[in-house]
Amino acid sequence: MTVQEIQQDRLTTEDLSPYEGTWVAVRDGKVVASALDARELRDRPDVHEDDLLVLVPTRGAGTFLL
Amino acid sequence: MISLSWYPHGVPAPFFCRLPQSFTIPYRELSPGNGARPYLVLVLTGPNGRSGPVWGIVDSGADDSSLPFSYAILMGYTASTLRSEPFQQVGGAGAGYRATEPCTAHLPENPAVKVEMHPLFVQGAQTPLWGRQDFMKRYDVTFLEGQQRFIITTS
Repeated sequence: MTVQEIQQDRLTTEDLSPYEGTWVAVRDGKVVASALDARELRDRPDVHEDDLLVLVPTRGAGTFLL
Repeated sequence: MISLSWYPHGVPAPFFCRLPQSFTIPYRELSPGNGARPYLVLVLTGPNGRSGPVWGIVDSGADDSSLPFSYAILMGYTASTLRSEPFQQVGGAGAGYRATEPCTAHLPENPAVKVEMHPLFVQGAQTPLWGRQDFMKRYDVTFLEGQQRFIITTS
């Protein structure tokens, strides 16, 4: 059985801390739009259907206990 | 062992020769300096038929997959397709909203394997979690902490 390497690229190439607590649309690792509300972001004309829509966690640099 | 490499990308092999498929993924940072974690991109398709890629953390401590509540709106869930459900987490108990209609998730690199989910949508949650009783029923997961990567294998 072969093991395929996937999803090797960075999730983002930029610092998301200015967007903490907001939604961002990410395309090719870069933020292309942001909004406070997910639906508002999705409905923006500059956001594509296949963009990643991400809620940027607050205090993202801390330890995660999920 | 039979190789499936002669099937074009995205074309499912016939069921009689479908062998486990393994994928290795590095731990990654949400943004530079945030600490690498086992993030995995899945494509979710909601009851409204809309699809989109979603970053989540593969979490063996999560019974089921869960999502920040706003994803419910994006995926077309409404009051009639959600029911209140309590949950326990490290920080204590809370109440979320369980999907009563399924959505599906698939790995972008392996669209033939669909994972049916009834995710728990949680107000105040900030990170999607891919849990045991849905995602890990279709994919076995091995964490290689020393190598900062994980392997998922179709089960």
